[in-house]
Order: sequence, then C-alpha cells, then structure tokens
Amino acid sequence: MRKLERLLDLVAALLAAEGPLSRHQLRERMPPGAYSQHDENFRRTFERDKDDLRGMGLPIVVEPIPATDPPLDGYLIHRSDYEDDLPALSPDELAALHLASNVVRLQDAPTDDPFWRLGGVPGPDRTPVGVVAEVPADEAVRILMAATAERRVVSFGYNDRDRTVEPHRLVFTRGRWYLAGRDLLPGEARQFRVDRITGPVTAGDPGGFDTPDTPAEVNDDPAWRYGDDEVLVARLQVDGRHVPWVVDFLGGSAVVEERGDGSVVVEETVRNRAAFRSFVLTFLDGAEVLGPRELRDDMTSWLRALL
Amino acid sequence: MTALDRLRRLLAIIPWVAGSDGVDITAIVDRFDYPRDELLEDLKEVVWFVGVHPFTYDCLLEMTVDDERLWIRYGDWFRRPMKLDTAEIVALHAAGRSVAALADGDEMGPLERALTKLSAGLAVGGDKVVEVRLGSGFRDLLDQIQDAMARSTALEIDYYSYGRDSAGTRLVEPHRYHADKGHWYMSGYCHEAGGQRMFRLDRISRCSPTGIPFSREPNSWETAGEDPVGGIPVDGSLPEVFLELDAAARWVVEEYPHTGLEEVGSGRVRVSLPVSTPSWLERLLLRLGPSATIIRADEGLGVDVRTAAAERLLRRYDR
Repeated sequence: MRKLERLLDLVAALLAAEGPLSRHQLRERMPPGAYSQHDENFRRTFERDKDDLRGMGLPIVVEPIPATDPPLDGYLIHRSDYEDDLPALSPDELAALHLASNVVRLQDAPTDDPFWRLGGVPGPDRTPVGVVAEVPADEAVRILMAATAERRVVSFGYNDRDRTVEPHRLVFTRGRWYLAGRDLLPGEARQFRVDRITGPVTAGDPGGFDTPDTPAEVNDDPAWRYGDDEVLVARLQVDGRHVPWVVDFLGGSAVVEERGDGSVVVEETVRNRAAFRSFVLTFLDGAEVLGPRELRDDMTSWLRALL
Repeated sequence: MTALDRLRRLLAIIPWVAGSDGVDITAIVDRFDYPRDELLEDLKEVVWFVGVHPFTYDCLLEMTVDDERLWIRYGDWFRRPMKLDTAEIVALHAAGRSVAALADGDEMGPLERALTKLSAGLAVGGDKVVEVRLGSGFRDLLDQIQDAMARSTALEIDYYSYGRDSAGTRLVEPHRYHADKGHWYMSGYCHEAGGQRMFRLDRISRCSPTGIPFSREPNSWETAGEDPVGGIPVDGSLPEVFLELDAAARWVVEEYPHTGLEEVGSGRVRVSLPVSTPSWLERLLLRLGPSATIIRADEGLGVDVRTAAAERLLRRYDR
C-alpha cells in the first residue's frame, strides 16, 4: 500500500476513534496490508508515521486506555484539537490576506500551508508581488508569538542568566523583535531583545498568568530619554539635509521651529547626556546644540578633548 | 511531491470539496498548487479507497471524479480542515495588520475583514499583543514612488548621502521599495550614478514626479546601496582601522562588520574595522571619544581624521 493511502487511513482512524487505541488496535482498524504483520517492522513503520503526522502539526495525543490491566496507553486525535473553527474566509478576504503575507513576509515560517487549510489560494492572486518587508521569524520568535497570545510563561537564557518571564507584548520595531513582560525573578517589568536570547525558548501551559491592568510595553524610544542624569530639555538645530530623518525618528511634534534655510530646531528631553551626545555627533557638523548651556558645554568640552 | 506534501494538501482539499456541490479540477490545481496529473492519479488511485474500518462501501469516502470535476459527498472524519496553530494565526495576523497600517483609508476592506475573522482563533486580546511595526511615516513618499512605478516615470529627489555626508539632486527610475531593519528604501536606476542604487526614504528631503518615461528593466534587485552600512565587505578590499575599545564601547563589535577581534582583558577588545567612507569613521571616532584608542590605521585614517572632524564641529560652535 502506498504511504499516502496508509497515512490518510491512519488519520481517519485516529479521528474516528471513540477512545484511545493501542498500536495493535490501530493496525486492526487499517486495511489489510497497510502495516506489516511482523511486529517489529510494524512498530518501526508506525512510529515513523506518527512522527511524520506530528511533524505536520496533527494533534495526536496519548491517553490511558480504559479498563486495561496492566494499564495501557493508546492514541487518538480529539476532533476539538484538530478541526478548524475559524469563520470561513471569502475568496477576496483570502486573497487579500495571502497578498499581505507575501508583501510582509515572515522568514522561516510556512507560507502556503496555512492558506490551504483556510481554503486554498484563489488563482489570480498567485502572481508574484514584490516583497516589501522580510521579518525574521525563527523558532524562538514563533514560540514567543504563541506564548504571548496564549499567556504561557516562557523560560530562556539572557545575559548569562536563566529567565522566567510572563510575556505581555512581542513587537518587531526598528528591525528587531523585542519582548516585554514581567521577569519573575526580580518580579519586575523587563524588555528583552529576542536576537540576544540564548538557548531554546520553552513555554508553559496556556493561561499561565493573568495579564496585569498595565502590561509591560515594548519601548523603542531613544536611549537619552531614560537615565539618571538631571533632566534637561535640549534645543537642537538640525540642517535641512537631515530633516526628513530626524522628523521620522523623533516625531513631528519634536520640531519647535522651522528656519528659512531649511533647518529645524527640535526639543528633546534628555536624561542620559552621553546617549544624547552620541546621537548629536552622528550629524557631524550638520547639527548644533543650541542650549541649554550645560549640554552645549558638554559637547564642546568633549570635542576639545579630542583635539 | 512527497507523500507528506500530498497529505497536507489532501487533508485541506477533501473538506473544501465536501463543503460544496462539486469543484472544478482546475480550481483545485490552482488553489492548492497541485499538479493536475498527480492530483487525478492520487484521487483515482488513493483517495478513492480511503475510509475507516471495516472498509465496506458505507465506510469509504463517497467520491465522484472525472477529468473536469470532483464531488465528495461523505467523509465525516475529514469534514473540517486542520486548524491553524496559534503561532500561524498570530504570524498571519501581525503581517496583515502591518500591511493594513500601510494602506490608506479607514474603510473595512477584505484584509481587515480577514483579520477580524482570524482573531476569532485567538484568546481574547491575543490579536493585540504581537505587532510588526514597519513605520508608516512615509506614506506620502511611498504613494509617490508607487505612482511613479505604475506609470514608469522617473522621480527627481534631493538626497543626502550619509556615507559621504553630502547632499545632491538625482533623477531616479524607481523599480522597488521595501523596508529593512527599521528603514524604508527605494531602489532604482540613478542617472547621476549611472547604475542601480538604493535610497533610504528618511534621507530624501524632496521628491517630485518628472513625467519622464523610462523603459529600462532592473538589472537585478541586488542594488548597490548609496550607504553601504550593513553591506560592508569584510574581505579586506576596504582600508581598515584597528582600534582598542573599552568595555563600554563593545557595542561597536556588535553593530559593525569587522575582520578581526581579540580580547585583551578587563572587557577590552581590539577590533579591525573596514572603513567604507571617511564620514563613517569620523562619526564613529567622535562618538567613541576616549573609549577608543587607534592602534593602527591605513593611510589617512588615523587620529588625524578624528582631530580634523572635532575641529570642524567646534568651528560651528565657535561662530
């Protein structure tokens, strides 16, 4: 018998089972010739089939078979675990979603398979489109996606320490994935750069914690807005050639003055002077700290020390 | 296709066909990317016999197939496709939301409706906790680029080259736009450079349509960046600077490509950095200040670079 037929029959048998079935009971419920009558050959083929099906995501569970002595475990697929229960997507909805998933492509994630289960990809939209963004989504990201959505506590290594975290938010921003959540050991909100996680990410059971009233948020604000330095409001003049970037980066509300030569003056709250100085220096001579005096002096004395 | 490739498709095709009054074979071929000959063979020689114990006629799939159309009337075990797992739904939802955020308008289009339906597969609130932010600050510029691409007309831009720290006007035939590492880019043929170039949108200070038609095909999407940060070759083709960095300056090692690295104790490292442009080196040395010591440098990249840059900046403050 062909492998495809054997697997289809096996899935049907596991879905139709009224209770957990042992390997041998399953063999009896398969067509003659599906599996070898030689027990060891049968065991090997069955194990391989089971691994293949689980690898595809089929939720095969192992449960005790009732009234067996000595107790025996058996296999089945609960329909509630298997059967899709999403509202049906209309062809135009499916096409729009497929297009979107090709425009913003999550790398390393299966592309067409989820769409087959949603009803296939309507023909005309198969035409290739330009990928607008490729977002990394390796196994750690995929585990964190499910864990964050299902409120599972996660464990991973970070900065040479094992962490146990209640994940509240997972955000891809400025080219990287960040996880914000409650780190259980200090019991405080923390933010983690996912590409710096070391070792595997493991997730606990769904609903493993209650989302607090104010969940941890991923913060992608610039570094100089956070720190222990005396709070100052910097006035920075930025020349015209840098204006599109600075407006995008700081937001339009940072601009307090537009000058005739195309330059702008922005105001920024500074709590970390070193980080702010580093930011201003990326403009080379295309920007100038206008004030306050402390920040302007900080910049000129830094530069003089380099002469 | 392997047996598993076929199985994946058939477990989705059977419920899809069973839920309708017959389906054209062509539609299945298209929707499920299933080559016609293989599909017909699998239907007639495999699916036809699939069922459950004791495999009498009433326990098999009830299927009718000819070369044009397929009907499946009974197959209770396969009445629904396999559900998407949470990570698959979240990934589709996050990608879809980021695309919806790029599009203009508030109306409930097919994408938004699809996202609402997908949310039904997630725990309450589960559709809000994962997000892909591509930045939507350049919608007007993206609209202009899309429009120029659709009409195959060139754009005139005022562009600031970060690597060379200089600004200028360019005539560009746009071929593509994309987001990468938190920035938006347009690539296309640049008349001034005489080749394919990539432009970061946040360095375009002005963009105007010219109406000048173009018909040049893109040579390749692998265009040379105007600003090669991230694409700096580490094959020794660029001049290099050899720095010793304090522990506080180790971020440099993570941030920039390097060709050699050695630990020298107390968290200090020595690193060889290829220098793409003098301006890049100026920025780096000014930002690092005393936390970097220049051990060795190719000609013209030594401490003089830092001194000259510091003097130039101070002149601005001394005005």
